[in-house]
Amino acid sequence: MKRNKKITKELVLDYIDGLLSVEERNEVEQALIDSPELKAFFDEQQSIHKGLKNLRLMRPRPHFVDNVMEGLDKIPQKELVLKAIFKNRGFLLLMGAALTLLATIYLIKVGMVDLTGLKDFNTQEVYQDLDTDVIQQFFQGTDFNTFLKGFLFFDLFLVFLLFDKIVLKPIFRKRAQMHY
Amino acid sequence: MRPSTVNDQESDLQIISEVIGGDKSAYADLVDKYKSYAYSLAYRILNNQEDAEEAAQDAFIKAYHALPKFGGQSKFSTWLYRIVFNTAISYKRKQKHYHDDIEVVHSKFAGELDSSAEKNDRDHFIHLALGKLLPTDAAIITLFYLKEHSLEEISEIMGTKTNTVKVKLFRARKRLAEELKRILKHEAVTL
Repeated sequence: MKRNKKITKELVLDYIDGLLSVEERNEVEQALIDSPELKAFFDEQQSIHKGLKNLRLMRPRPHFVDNVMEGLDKIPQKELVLKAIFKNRGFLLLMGAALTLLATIYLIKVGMVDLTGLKDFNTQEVYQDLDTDVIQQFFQGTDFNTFLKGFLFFDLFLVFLLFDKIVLKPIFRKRAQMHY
Repeated sequence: MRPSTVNDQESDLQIISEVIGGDKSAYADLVDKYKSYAYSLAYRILNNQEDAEEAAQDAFIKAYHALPKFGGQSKFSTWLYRIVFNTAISYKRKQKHYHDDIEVVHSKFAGELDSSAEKNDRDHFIHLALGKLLPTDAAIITLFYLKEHSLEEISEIMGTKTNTVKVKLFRARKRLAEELKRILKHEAVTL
């Protein structure tokens, strides 16, 4: 009986599939004699195994090959979606906005744009070198910190808007076309 | 590897190089060669003739477009069946759920089996039970038995580990036995 405990149902299936060594086969055969439960499992699976061995290929309808050959010129769905995205010029705008956003965040993170010192931006030291009067006037009357936050917010909003219009909508439109 | 398998692989690679070289019509030979197996695999997953044909055709078209990426590390058939498997599974997600009664499945298979097979009750009921299994269970049994793929090949097709395939195959066979019992019980009641 101790030997039977080692013989699992998985091993019985391996026996049916012919995956066992001679020694293992003998052990399984002995277990099948000793255990009615394993024997019942074996009989059931052996019968199914024989039936599955007779499993035959199913043939598709006669025009199968022609249909495939005709379909080869069609652009795959994935490429259609990508084309729908890339053909839109807004994609370039989206990329530009996203890159600007990432670049700004990166510059702030590495300290190239020091937000703590921004209060000094309105002082003469910072903007005195700027050439045009227009720019000087602009920075004189603007808190750069607020301007930067506003710019980031606008850029983020633009990225979301463009992403929805240029990427998400074409994907969902194509999906809907596939369903109906 | 059996000599016929080696020849098969060489002839597949020859056709593939012709197709990549611009001879699109050569692809028809590959489609013709593997259509039945691709269709059978898709059918076992989708349980519907039209959907299975559509999925298998779609898989062949996908394979054609991806042909330049086929590196030849594995057999073309294994690579193709992976595309068929994934395509059919993706179709299954979109497919309306078919709640076929045993009678419906019975009549569906009856048309597909030849008269000699119909006489064999065991084989016939196994077909019925396969139709009631979960898609991946039916697929794994089909892959294992229909062309006797090794567990390694099945793991490559299904994109899982060999040990996982072995466990899944064990469970699939147990579920098949349970379905078979259920069908036979139903048959006994209706007789």
